[in-house]
Amino acid sequence: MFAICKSSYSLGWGVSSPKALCRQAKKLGYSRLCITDINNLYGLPEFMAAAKQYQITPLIGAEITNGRQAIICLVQTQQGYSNLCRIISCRHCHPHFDFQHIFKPRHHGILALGSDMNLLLSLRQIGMEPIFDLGLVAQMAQEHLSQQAKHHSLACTTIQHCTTATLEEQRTHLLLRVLHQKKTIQHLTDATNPNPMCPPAPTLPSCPPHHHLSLQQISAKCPFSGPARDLIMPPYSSSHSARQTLRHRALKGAAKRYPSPLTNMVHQRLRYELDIIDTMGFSAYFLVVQDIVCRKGKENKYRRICGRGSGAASLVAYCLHITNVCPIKYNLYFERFLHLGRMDPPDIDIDFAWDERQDVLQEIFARYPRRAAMVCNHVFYQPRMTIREVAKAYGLPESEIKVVTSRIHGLNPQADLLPQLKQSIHLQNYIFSAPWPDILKDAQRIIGLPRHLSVHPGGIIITPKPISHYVPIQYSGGRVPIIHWDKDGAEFFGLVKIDILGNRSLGVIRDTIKQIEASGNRFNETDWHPEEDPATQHLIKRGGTMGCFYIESPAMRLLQKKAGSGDFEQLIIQSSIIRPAANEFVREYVRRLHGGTWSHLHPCLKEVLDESFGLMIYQEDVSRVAVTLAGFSHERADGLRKVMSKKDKIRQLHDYEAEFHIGAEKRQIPTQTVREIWRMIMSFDGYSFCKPHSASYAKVSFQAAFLKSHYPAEFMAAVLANGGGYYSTFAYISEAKRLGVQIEPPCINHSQVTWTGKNGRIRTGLLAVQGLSVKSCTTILLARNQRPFSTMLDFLSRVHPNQSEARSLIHAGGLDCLSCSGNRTELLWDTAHYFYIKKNKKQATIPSLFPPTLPAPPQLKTPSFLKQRRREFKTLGFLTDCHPLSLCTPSGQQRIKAEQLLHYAGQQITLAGWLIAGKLVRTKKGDPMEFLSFEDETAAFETTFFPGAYRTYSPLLEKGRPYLIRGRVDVDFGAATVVVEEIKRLG
Amino acid sequence: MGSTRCIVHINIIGFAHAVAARVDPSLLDRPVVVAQGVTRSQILDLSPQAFSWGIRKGMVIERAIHLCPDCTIIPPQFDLYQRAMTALYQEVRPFSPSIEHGFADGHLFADLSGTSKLFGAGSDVARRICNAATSRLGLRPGWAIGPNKLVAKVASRISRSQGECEVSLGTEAQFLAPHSLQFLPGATPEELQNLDDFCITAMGDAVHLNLNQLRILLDRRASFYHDACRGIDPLPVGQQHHHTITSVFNFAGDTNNTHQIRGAISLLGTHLSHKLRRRQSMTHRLSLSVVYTGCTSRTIRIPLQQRTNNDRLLIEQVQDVLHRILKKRLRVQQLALRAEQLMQASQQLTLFSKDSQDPIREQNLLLALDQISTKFDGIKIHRARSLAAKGAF
Repeated sequence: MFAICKSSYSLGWGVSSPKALCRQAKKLGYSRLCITDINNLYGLPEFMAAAKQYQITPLIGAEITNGRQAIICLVQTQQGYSNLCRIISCRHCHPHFDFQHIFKPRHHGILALGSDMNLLLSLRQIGMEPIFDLGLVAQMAQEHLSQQAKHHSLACTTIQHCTTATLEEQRTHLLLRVLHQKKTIQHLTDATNPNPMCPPAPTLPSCPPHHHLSLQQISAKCPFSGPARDLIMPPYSSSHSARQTLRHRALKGAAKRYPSPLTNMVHQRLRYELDIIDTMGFSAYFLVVQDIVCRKGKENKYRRICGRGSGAASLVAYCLHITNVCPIKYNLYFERFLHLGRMDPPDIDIDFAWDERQDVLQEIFARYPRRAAMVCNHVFYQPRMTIREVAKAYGLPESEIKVVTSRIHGLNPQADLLPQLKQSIHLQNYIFSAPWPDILKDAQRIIGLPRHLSVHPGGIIITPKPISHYVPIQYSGGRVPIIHWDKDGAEFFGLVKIDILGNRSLGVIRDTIKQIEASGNRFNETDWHPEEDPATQHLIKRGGTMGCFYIESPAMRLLQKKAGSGDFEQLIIQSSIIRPAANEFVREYVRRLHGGTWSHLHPCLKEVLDESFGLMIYQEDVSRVAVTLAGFSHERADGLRKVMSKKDKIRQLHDYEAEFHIGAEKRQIPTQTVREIWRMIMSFDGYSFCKPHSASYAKVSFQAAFLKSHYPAEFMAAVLANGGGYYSTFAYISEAKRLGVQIEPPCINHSQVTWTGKNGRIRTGLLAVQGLSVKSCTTILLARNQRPFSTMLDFLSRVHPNQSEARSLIHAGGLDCLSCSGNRTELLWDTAHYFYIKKNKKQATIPSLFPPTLPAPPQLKTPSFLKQRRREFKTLGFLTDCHPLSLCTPSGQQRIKAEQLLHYAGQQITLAGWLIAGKLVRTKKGDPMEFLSFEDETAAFETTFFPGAYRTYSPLLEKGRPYLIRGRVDVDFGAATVVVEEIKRLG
Repeated sequence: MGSTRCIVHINIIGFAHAVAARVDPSLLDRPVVVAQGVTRSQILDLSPQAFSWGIRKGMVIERAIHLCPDCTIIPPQFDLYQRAMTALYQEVRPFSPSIEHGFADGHLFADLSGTSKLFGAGSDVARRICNAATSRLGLRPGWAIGPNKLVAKVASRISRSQGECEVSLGTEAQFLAPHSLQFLPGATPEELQNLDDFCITAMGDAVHLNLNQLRILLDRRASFYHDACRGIDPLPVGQQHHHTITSVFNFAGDTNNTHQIRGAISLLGTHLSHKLRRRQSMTHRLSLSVVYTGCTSRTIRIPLQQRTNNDRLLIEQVQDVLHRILKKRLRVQQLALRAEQLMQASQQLTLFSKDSQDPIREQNLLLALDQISTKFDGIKIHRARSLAAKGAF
C-alpha cells in the first residue's frame, strides 16, 4: 500500500517535511510512499534519507502542472528518472510548455496519472499509457468519470492523495496559501481544505475490476526507488589520460614553484598525493579546476585568485597554481582534503575578485554548455522573515513591522515567540497589542518551511552528460542555471562541486597595484614576499589593519595587539582561533605566546598540537586528536569533524563522545583529561577554519597589509572603491586621515566615477555623492573630456542632471569649482532658475532656438559653516576636512583623546566617540552584552558594554552618532579597551 | 473694511488633554497623549508636559513611549470635545456675529472689527472671553489679535508660552520678519526644507524676494508665501465652502476585517444620505478616503450614474469599490465618505428609473426614517450590516 503526498517542498502548498511524511506513513502502516512535489525534486535527497531511516520504500515522482492542467509522473526506471528530470527542467526553462510536445521524446519509464481526461487522452496519442486517478476527483463524480474512462478505454485507479501528514497542520497549510498568494488573513477561509494522511484502506473500484488497477499493481509498475549515488566528476577530454596529464602538469608546475632540482620531500609528497588523487578518481577534477583558474581576464592578465579551503593543503593544487600557499613550508595536512577512506566528495574553493566572478561563471557556462549549473540554496522561512510576512497578511504597516523585526535577535523558533520577544532587551517598552499575539502564533507554524531557492554563493557543478540527466535545473532570477538540490543534496547524490567565490579584497589588491603602476611606479609581484616585510609586520602587530582582508575586525585587531608578534605563522593561528565559543582559549593562547607556562593535556597530543601551544586551533585538530587519543579511524574522525558544523549535531555528537571516552580510556588516559579535551573540541561549535584555509587567507591578509603600510592612499582608495568591508565609508575615511592621507572633496572637473588615490591624496569619487546616478557620473566624465566645465549653466546644459542630483552635488562641494564667490546658495539658485526656465519652456507652445541664459542671482546668504558641513555630511556620509565629532562636542567638555588611552590604565575616564561598529554577544548566562567600536579625531577604540550597562543604554545606541562615554580603561597584554559605565548622546 | 479689521484667535493648547483633564483632574500636570490604544496609532493631541519630553502630534504611540515611558495614553472622546467647543462658541457669540471654528480642535476665530465702541478694545474682549472660559469651562485658552486670521494665528503660535499677543495694523510684516517660517499655517515640511536650502528660514528672508523670484523656488505656492510673509490674508472669518458634505468613521483601533469595513461603509452611507436629505441635496459623485494604519491614505472617486440621496444606492456604489481598498494589505483606521457635486434635490421622481425597487415606497420609508432620526436626535435606526462596525463618527 502506498499514498501520494505533497511535501513542504511543494512551495506555498505543502507543509510536512519528507521526514514527517515518512514517519507518519510508517506509523500508519504504509510500506511505500510517493512524494510528488509540484514541478520539482527539491526534497528528493531528504526523502531518500528519511525513507531509509524509517524503512519505507520510496516511490519517486513529481506533479507536473501547466496552468490548470496537471499530471502526476511516477518513475518506473532509471531512464524514467532522467526523463522526469528533463521534463521538470523543460517545465521551468521553456516559456511555452506543452505536455504533448515535451512528453513525446521523454516519456519512457514514466507512469502518468491524472484526472484531466483530455490531457490523458492526448498523452496516450504519443505512446504513453496514462491512468485515470479517481483519488483526485470528488467522490460523487467518481462513478460518472469512471464510466467515461471506461468509454475511452483508460485504466483507472484510486490512490490516496494527501497534502499534510496530520490534521493539525491544516491551519499551517491555509496560512501558507495566504502568504504565497499575498492575500490577507481574511482569505484564510477561501482556501481549500487539505487532506491529511489517512490509514491505508482498500478502495472499492468504481468501475469493473479489469479497468481498475490496485495500488499493488501500480506499485509493481514502478519498481524504481531512487537514482544511483555514484560520484559524478567534471569531464576532462584530452588525447592523454587525465592521470598522465595531471602528473605532467604537476611536475611542470613544481619546477616553477621550487628551485631546481626538486627536493626529495617535494617529489615524495607529489607522488603520494597524485596516487591518492588517481585512486579516488579526482585527476580530471584537478585539471578542470586548473582550466578555470588559468584563464586570462579582460586586460589579458591572469586573474588574481585565492585557492582556499582544505584544497590548499594539496601540493598538486599549489603546483597547478590553484592555491598560493606552500603546503610543505607550512606543514599543511593533505588528509584533511583527501584520503582513501573519504566517502563524500571534497571540493576546491577558489576566490576571484568580486567583480570578475560573474565573468568566470559565464566562461564556464560557455565552455560546458548544458553541462554546468550552480548549486542552489534552499531558503527556509526564518523567524524574522516569517513574522514580517504574517504581519503583512494581518495588515500591519511596514513601519510597525520593521520596529519589531529589526530588533529580533536569536529567537528560538521551538519556544513560544511572544514571551521571548517580551523579554527581549530591545523590545522592553514595546506593547504587543492585537493582533501581534495572533501573528506570532501563526508565524511559529510557518517558521522552518521551505520558501524559495536562491543561488549558492559559489558552488558550480559540471557533469559529463547534460546536467538535466542527473537533476532538474531551473533559472534563477538573474538567469543563472541552478540545480534543484542544495550543496548537501548534491553531495548526497555524488555531484562534485567547485566553489567559485567572489572576494572584495582581491579586487582591492588588484586596484591598488593598478593605481601604483598608473602613478609610474613599478610593482614586481614575482618576488613579492609581504610576510617578510618588517613594516608590514609592524602594522599587523599594532593592530592597524583596518581595511585589510580578514584581519580588520575589532576582535582581530585587539588580538593582534595583544599577541604583538606580526608574523605569518601566528597570523594563521589567529585567523582560526577567533571564533565565538573560544574566548578563554584566545586568552590562553596569548598568555602562552608571551611565554606563560603550559604543558600538553596529555603527552600524546605533543605531535599534534605542539605548534599551537597545546591548544586546538584548526578543524583538522579535532580529527587528529580523535585519531591519536581515542584511536578513531581517519574516516570516523573526519565524520566527527563534519558533525561539528551541522545544526542538529547534539544527537550525533552524543555517540561520538561516548566513542571518544571509550577509546581514550582504553589508552589509560585519565577521565578528567578526556573531559577537558572534549570540552576543547566543543569550543569549535561549528565555526572554525582548517589550517590550509587559514594559511591561504593569511597570505591575502599580508598582501593587503603590505600595500596599506607602503601605499596608504592607493590602498585606502581601493578599499573605498571596492565597497563592502567590516566598516562604513566614514570609518575608512577616518582611518585614511589618521594615516596622514589628505581627503579631497568630489569635484566635477577632477573626480573619477569612483575613489582614486595617489601620492598621499585620495580624491572622492562622484559615485560617493548620494543620489547621483552612475549614468550622470559617466556623462560628467564624457563631457569633461571634451572641455572642463566653466559655469553652472555650462554644467547643467551639457550634463542634464535632474534637479536633485545637481543639488546633491552642490551640497557635497562637487560644484565649488564653478563658484567665484564660494557661495553655494548662489549655485543652488542658478540650478533652481535653470530648471524653472526649462519647465516653463516645455510648457510654452513655441520652443526656443536658444539655450536659456541665467540672470545674476539675488542677494542670498551663504550657509553657515555648521550648516554647510551638515549638508556635506548628509550627501557624502563623511566630512573631508574635519571630524564631525569636533563640531558636536561642547567646547568646555573635558575629555581625553583615544590615542592616550594606554596612559590611563585602570582609571576612570571620559571621552567622546563616534559609533562605527558593534557586535552583540551573550554571556554564559544568556544575558546580552555588546562590544562597540568608537572613534574620535585621533584613533579608533573598543568598548565593552556589560549586561547592566547594555540594558540601560542600548536604546540610545545607534551607529553613525556621537556619544560622550564615561568608563574605566582596561589594559590587557598592551591592548586598551574601555568598560563603559555611562553614555550620553552628543549633538 | 481693511482699516478696521480686528480678528481674535482663541486657542486652547492641548485641547483634547485639557478637556480630558477637566473630567479627570488627575491628568493635569502629567505627560498625557491622546490616541487610540494600539501601538501603531498616531498621537492626536498631547499635554504640554508630554510636549516637553519631545513627543509631538502625529508621532506613533510606540515612539512616544520610547521617549517617555511614564506617559499616560487616553483615547479620544469626540463627543466631549464637541461639547467643549460648543460651550466655547457660546462664550464668544455675544461679542461677534462672525465666528469660525474647527470640528473639535480648540481653535476659534472671531471677527471683532467695529465692535470696540460696543464692547471695548479687542484685547479686553479677548481677555473677557478667556476669563469666562477659564471660570465657567475650566479651560485656559490663549489668545492673539491681528488684522487678519493669518497674522492672528501666527501670533497665537509664537506667543504660545505667554498666552496673549496683539499685532496692530500696519506692523504685520515687521512682526513676522524675525520669526521662523515654521510658524506659517499651511507651510509644508517639503517647502520649508526647500527654502532652508536657500538659507531662507525666517519670514523676513522671504520678503527680500519678489514674487517672480519666489516662483523660481516655490512655483505655484509662491504667491501664498509672498502674501503670508508680508502678513496679507484677505479671507474673512467664517467663510467656509460647503461644496461637499463629509462623514468620517474612526474604527476603534484598526481593522482589516472585511465585515467591519462593510459595516462602516453601510453606516457612512446612511449617515451621509441623511445629511444630504436634511439639506435637500443630492450628489452626483462620491469620494471615499481611507486612512490605513501607518499614515498612508487613499482616495477613490466614485461617479454616480444618476444623482441621488438614497442611502441604499450610495452604499451599493461604495461597496462595489471595496475590493480596491482591501487590495492594499493594510489595516484601516478611518473611512471618510464625501458627497461631491451637490445639487438641489428634485421633488420630481424620474420616469425611467433603472432601479428595480418601487421608488415611492422607498422614498416614504426614508422619510419615515429621517423623521425618527430627527425626533430622537441622531440616527437610531441602522442597517443590520452596520452592526459589525466598531468605532465612532
